[in-house]
Amino acid sequence: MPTSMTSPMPQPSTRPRRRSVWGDILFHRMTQGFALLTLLLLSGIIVSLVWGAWPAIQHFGISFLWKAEWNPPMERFGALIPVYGTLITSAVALIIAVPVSFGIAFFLTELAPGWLKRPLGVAVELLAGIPSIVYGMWGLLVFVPIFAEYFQPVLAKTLGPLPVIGALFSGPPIGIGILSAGIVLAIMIIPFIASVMRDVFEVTPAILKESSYALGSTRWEVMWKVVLPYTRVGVAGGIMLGLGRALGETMAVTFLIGNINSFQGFSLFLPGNSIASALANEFTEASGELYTSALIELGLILFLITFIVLSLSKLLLMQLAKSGGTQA
Amino acid sequence: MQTQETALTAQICFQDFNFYYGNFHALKNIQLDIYQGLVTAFIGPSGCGKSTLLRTINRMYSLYPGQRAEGHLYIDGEDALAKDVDLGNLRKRVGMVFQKPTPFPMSIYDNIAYGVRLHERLPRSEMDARIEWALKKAALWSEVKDILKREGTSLSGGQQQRLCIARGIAVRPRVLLLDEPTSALDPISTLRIEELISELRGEFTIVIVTHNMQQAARVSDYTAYMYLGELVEYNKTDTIFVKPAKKETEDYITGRFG
Repeated sequence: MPTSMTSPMPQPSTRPRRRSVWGDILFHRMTQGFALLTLLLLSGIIVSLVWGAWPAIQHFGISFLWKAEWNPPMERFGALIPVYGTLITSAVALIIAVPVSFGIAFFLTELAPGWLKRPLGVAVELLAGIPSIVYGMWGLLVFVPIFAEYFQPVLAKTLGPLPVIGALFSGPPIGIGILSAGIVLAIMIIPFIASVMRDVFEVTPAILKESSYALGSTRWEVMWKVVLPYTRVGVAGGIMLGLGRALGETMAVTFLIGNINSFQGFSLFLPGNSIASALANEFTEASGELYTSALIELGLILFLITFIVLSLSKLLLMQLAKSGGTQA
Repeated sequence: MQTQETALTAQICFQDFNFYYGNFHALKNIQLDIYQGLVTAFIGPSGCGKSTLLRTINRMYSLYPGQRAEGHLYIDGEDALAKDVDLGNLRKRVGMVFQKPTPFPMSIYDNIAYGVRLHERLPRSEMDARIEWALKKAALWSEVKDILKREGTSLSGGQQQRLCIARGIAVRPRVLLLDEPTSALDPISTLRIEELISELRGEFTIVIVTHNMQQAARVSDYTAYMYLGELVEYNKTDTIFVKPAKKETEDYITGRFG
C-alpha cells in the first residue's frame, strides 16, 4: 500500500507546477500590458489634445486663459468664462453636497432604525445610477420653473440684501443659470459622497464610538469630534470623487447653465457657461481651424484642471494620513 | 486589601435586575451592592454576562435598540434606569475604559481635554492643570509631559491604555468601569495598570471585569463570580479565593472548569 501510494505522488505535484510557472509569466505579462496600455492611452490623449489645440495655443498664447471674449465670427477666443463657470458650478455643488451627504451618512450609520437603513442606502446609491441627461431634462423641465417661481425670489429677498454675498443672489429670477446648474450637480454628486462617507463611518470601530459615549458625549459630538476626524482621509477622498465628477459633468450642466459666453456679473442667478458644456454645444458647429482648435484647448484646460484637483487631493490625503488618521 | 467592616457604603445597587438582548435573557435576577471606594472584580467564563453587567452601570446598552434592562439599578441613591436620566450626566459620574486602548484621533492633550470640555468650560490654565493632574494620576505624566501635542495613537499600547484611564479620570467621575483593561496588553504594561488600579483605589469606586483570576485576586477587594447570567457568589475577594461558599465557585477558581 505505501509504495503504490508514493509512486504516483510526484507526478501530479510536478506537472501543475511547470504549467503554473508559464501561466504566471503569461499572466504577469498580460497584466503588465494592460497597465502599460492605460499609460499609453493617457499620453496619447494628452498628445492629441495638445496637437489639436496647437494653432490656438500659438495664436492666443497664455492670455487665452484669462481673456473673457468668445467671439467665433471674429475668431477671438478666451477661456475665462467657461473656466469660471466650471469652477463656480462645482464649488456651488460641493458647498451644497458635502453637508447634505454628511447628514445622510450620519443618519444612515447612527440614527436610522435598522429596517430603514438598507432601503434608504439603496435609494441613495440608485440616485447615482440615473443618467445625467435625465437629470438635465428633469432640471430644465421640472426643477427650473419651480426654482424660479418659489425659491429664487426668497433667496433674493433673504440673502440678497446682505453685504458681499448679497451680490451672489441678485438679478432676475429666471431659473436657468449657474445656481441651478450647481444645485442639480449637487444632487448628482450627493450619492457618491454620501455612500463613501457612510462606508467609512461604518468601519469606525464601535469601541471607539463607545469610548466617546462613555465620557458623556451626545451622538453629534461622537460624530463630529471623533468619527469625522478618525475617517477624515476617506471623507476627503469621497469629496474629491464628487468634485471630479462635478468638474467634468456635461449634459446636465448644458441643459441648465444657459450657455452664454459673455460675462454678465457675479450673481449666481445669471447664466454662464462651463467648459464641458461649451464643447458639447459648439463642437459640431465649429467652422474654421482656429475655432475648433480653441475648443480643443478648452478640453485641454479641463483636463489640466481635473489633473490638478486630483493631484492636490492626493497630496491632501497624504498629509492627512501622515498626521495620524491613517484609517481610510 | 484591608477592608474595614465599618463604613462600607453601597454606591451601586442592583435589585431584581434583569437584562435582555432581544429575546435572550442575559442577566437573571441580579442582586448586588458595589461599595464606594473599593475595587470590585467580576469574574466568570466567557459569555457569563460579566461585561454585560458592567455595561449596564453607565447605560452603554442604551445605544443599541433591542437591549433592555428591567428591575432596579441605583447609583448614589438615584434610579439609573429611569426614563428621564440624563445619560451625559450619568456618564460624567461613571467613567469607562475598554478592552483595547481607544485613543481618539487627536493630540494627547486633546484626548484628555475632550471629556472635560463636554462637561465644563475651563480657562486654559485650569485645563492645563486638570490634564497634568489626570496624567499624573494615570502614571503617564513623566512619559508624555514633553509630547502633549503628539497624536495619542503614537504612544505604545500600554501608554495608550493609561491615556484612556487618564481621559476617564479627567472628568472626575465617582465610579470607574474597567472592561478587561489589560486583555490587549503585554505583561509589563498589565502590571503597571494593576499598580495604577491599586493607587486609584479609595479615590474612585472601581469595577473591573477580568478573565484573569490572578488579576482579580491581586487588585480587588470584592469579587463577584458569575455563570450563565447569574450571580453565583459575591464576597470579599479573600473569601472567594480562599474559602468560597459554593462548589461551583470553587471549581472555577481552582481551574477545574472554565
